[in-house]
Amino acid sequence: MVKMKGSFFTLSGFLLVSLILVLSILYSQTLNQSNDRLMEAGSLERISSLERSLGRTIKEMDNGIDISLERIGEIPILTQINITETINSSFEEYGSDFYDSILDLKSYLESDQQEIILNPDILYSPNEKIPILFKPHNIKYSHYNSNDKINVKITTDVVSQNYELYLHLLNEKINHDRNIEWIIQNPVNESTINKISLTIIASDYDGYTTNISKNISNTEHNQFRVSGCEIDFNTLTPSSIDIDYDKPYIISLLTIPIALFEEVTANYPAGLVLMNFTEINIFKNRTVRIA
Amino acid sequence: MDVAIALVIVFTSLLVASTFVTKANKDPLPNLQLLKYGSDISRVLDYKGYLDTPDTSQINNEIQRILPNYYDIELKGDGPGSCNFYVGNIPPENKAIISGKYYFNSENEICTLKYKIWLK
Repeated sequence: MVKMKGSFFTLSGFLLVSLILVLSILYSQTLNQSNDRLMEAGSLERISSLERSLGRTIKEMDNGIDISLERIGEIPILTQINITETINSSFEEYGSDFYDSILDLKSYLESDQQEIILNPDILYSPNEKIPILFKPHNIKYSHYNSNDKINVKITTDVVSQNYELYLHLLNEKINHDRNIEWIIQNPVNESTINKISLTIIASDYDGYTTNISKNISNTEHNQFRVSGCEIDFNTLTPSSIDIDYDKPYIISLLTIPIALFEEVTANYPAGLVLMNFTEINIFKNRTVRIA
Repeated sequence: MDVAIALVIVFTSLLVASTFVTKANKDPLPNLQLLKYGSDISRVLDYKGYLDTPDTSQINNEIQRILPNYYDIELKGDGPGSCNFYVGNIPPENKAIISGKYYFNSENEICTLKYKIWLK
């Protein structure tokens, strides 16, 4: 009986110690995994910091265009996109200072941090320069070559009856005797289903302002003219507005309120910054947020 | 004799268990916090314009204002012209030091800010 008691006591002690050992191993492994996750979080934080600093550096280099996003109105919530830029050079010269700065950054960066690659061709191709994407609505604002003149092109793949576009042009001088000339090739009536409300506001440096609002079809070609600014509104999918400036030194201000309860961001196209940290298995194809 | 063997086994097992727990208890969370502080401080300096034309005394004053008392930091600016600057203290050899890098523009030149941060 005494022998049985002793064996039972020894076995209980052994099981208890084994339990402590197993629990400590489990605890150790759990903490090790937790440490790995924290190390990953640390690496991501470090990469994120690099990414943000690069974004800010690139954004500061592009001093030819100014973008602001502001919320206006309560219900519905509207986001107003304001783009201000001076277009006063040929297509070849347009954005060349920015491109040179990006090339400088590329050579500096790739010699300093081999894991990061810049792809400036995304911003500066022979046919299109400095495209900017407004998310989440995929509105694209870019500049393209038209007989060595710079045309601004605005395209969107979001077209609905609730979609409203406001185009505000600040021109050098508007002939006060003439209002906006609306040469609409395919006028739509109120019963048309696929239509967009478009308001054009034209102002000049003297403070003169004129405006017009029309419904336009998103399946037909529409055209109108604003005192020297040729505006070609082509709403074939994807819908687009082409602004053909035939005068230098024009600043354009585009205002697009969007009735969606979402955060709007302005970004350069994806693929501008490629990060490949092979040692920690992180590959990022990123862009730069401008606003 | 049996008791002695049993005690040796028990204490060996407990020792192994405590070793596992002690090893795992090297918590990296404070280090992650250090990294975040370093990253945040770099951004604050950039957003407030202290890196536009870096001035050692101004950066030093701002660091003293925003860095919590129980942290210490070393900042090294690298690049052409005024980008080269040194602010803060020399890192100790017996403490965990977290470092990071931040790119910035200064007078149209591309520069880097390298920070090292540690608990005092």
